[in-house]
Amino acid sequence: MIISDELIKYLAELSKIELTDDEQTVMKEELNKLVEYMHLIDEVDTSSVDEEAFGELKNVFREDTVKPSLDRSDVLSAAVTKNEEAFIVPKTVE
Amino acid sequence: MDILKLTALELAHEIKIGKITCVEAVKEVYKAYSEKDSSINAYISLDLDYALKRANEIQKRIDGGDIRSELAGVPVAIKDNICTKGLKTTCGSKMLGNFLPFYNAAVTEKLEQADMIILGKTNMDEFAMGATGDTSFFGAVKNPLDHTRLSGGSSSGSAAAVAANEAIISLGSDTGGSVRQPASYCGLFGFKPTYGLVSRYGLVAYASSLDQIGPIAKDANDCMAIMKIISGNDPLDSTSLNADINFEDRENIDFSGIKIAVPKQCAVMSSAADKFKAMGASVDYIEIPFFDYAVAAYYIIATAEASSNLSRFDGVKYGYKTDNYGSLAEMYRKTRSEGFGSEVKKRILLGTFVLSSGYYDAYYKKALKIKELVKNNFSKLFEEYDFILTPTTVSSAPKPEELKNDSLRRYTDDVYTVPVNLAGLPAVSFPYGKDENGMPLGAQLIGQRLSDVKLLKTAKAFTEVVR
Repeated sequence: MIISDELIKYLAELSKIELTDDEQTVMKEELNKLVEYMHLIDEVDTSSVDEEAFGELKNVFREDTVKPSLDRSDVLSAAVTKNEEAFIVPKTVE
Repeated sequence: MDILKLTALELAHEIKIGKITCVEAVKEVYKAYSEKDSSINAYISLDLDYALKRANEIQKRIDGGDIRSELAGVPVAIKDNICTKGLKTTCGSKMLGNFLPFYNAAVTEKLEQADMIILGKTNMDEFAMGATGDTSFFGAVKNPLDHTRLSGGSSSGSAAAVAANEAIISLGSDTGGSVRQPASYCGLFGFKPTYGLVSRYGLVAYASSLDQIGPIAKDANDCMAIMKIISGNDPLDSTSLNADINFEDRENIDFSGIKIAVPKQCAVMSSAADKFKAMGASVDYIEIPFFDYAVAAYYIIATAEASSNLSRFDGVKYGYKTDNYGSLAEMYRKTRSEGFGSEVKKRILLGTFVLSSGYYDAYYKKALKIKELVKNNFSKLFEEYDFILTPTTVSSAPKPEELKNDSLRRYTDDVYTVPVNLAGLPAVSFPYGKDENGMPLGAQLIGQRLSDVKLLKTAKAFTEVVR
C-alpha cells in the first residue's frame, strides 16, 4: 500500500483540503486502488523517448503593448469579501 | 412541422426562408425543457427572457436579410464550464454555485456573433471530472432514452439536452472523452476537434494540455457548421493553432483509397467495419497495444494538471467562501473542503501525489514519456492508415448500480477515448447500432491532426449508408 495515513495527511495539507477521519479512510482505499492500477505504466519501455524533446512545444510570445486591463469593479464583483478597491483576506503578516 | 425533430442546419434553413421564426424555435425548445427537465436534469440554468430577447433581435436582422451565419437563429445549449457573461457558470460545483462571469469565453462570444441563441447552461460532472453525469452538485443527469441509465459524462447535460429535444445542438468539453462518451450513450454525434482548433479562453480548466471544446449534435453536418463558427486562432489561448481548415467543405467523400485500421481487440466493430468496406474503404485488423496503458498515463497527467489548475479556488477572488475561519490557511482549507465534492478532492489529492517530491519521476515524468510514445505510435499508424475505428465506449449506457462496486470501472471505461486526447488528435463518435436493450452504440473514428473535416465527412457517409 503506497498511500499511508501519514502520506494522505501530507497530501491533504499540500492541497489545502481537510478530510474527516471517515473521508480519509475511504479516500485512502480508493487512491491506493488507483495508484496500483497506474503501475501499468511500469511495464512500458519508454527508453526510446527523448525527454529533452517532449512534443514540439515552443514559447508563444507577443509584443509588450499597453492594452486596457480588466475593470476593477468587474473583477471584484465575483468576490465574497471585498471593499471598493480590493479583495479582503485575513491578516497574512503579523 | 416538428421543429424539435430538425437538425440545426435544417432549422436555420426554415428560419431563413421564413417558415419558422427563431422566437417560435426558442419557445418550442423551452416547452420541451419545461415538460421534461424536472426528470432529466440536463440544465443547471436556463434564461428564457434573455433567449427571447436575443431571438427577437436576431429575427429582426434575419427579416432584414442580415444573416450572420449558417446557424443564425438556432438555439444552443452550452456546458456550464464555459463562461457566459451575466449567466451563472457553476462547473457543476458548489464551489462556483453562484459564480457570475463578467466576461464571455471565446466560444460564447463567437456563438453570439454568429447570431445563435444561448438558451442555458448544461449540467456536468463536477469540474468535468467523471464519465457518469452523476457527480454534479446539482444532481445526476438521466439518460433521456432510458431514465434508469446514466447519460455519461462529463458533458452529461449537453448530450441529454439534445437527446431530449431540450436543445437543437450543444457544446461540451472533452478532456478524455467527455464529449464523445455521453454523445455515444445518448445516440448522438460527439466531436472532439484537433487540440488547439477551438480556443480554451473562458473554459474553466481541468487539464489544460488535454481540454478541448467540441459539439454534440444530431448529425455530422451540424458539427461542421458549428465548428466553422467556434474554431479559429485566438491570441488569448497560447495553445491555439493557426490552421486553415474548411468546415464549409461538405462534398461527399470518395472511399476508394481510404484505409481504416481496427484494433484486434475491437472485433465488436466488425459490422461497422464491413459497412465501410462495402462503401469502398479497405479495413485491416491490427495490434494496437497502447490503449490500456494510455489510460493510466492519462489519469496521472490529467490529475496532475487539475491539482494545479484548481488551486485557484481559494475563496478570495470568486466562488464559494467559508464563513468559518480564523487564519488565511484555515480559510483556504475550509473553503476547499466545503466547496469541492469528493471526486474532485480525490483527483486533486492524486494529482498532488504524482507531482510530489519522491514520486514525480516514477509517475508524472513517466506518464509524459508515455504520452510521447502514444503520439509517436499514432503518427506511425497514420503513415499507413487514414482512420482508426474503435467503439467509443466499452458498453452502452450502464445503470448506476452496475458501477457501484467497481470504482475503477469509472476510469477504465475511457480506454478508447483518452489516447486521442493524449495525442491531441481529432475524433468523432457516431451512432452505429443498438444493443439488445435498444440502447445506442457509438463508433469512434480517430484521424490524424487536422483531418477534422475528412473525419466528419466519413462519419456522415457512414450514417447515410446505414439509413
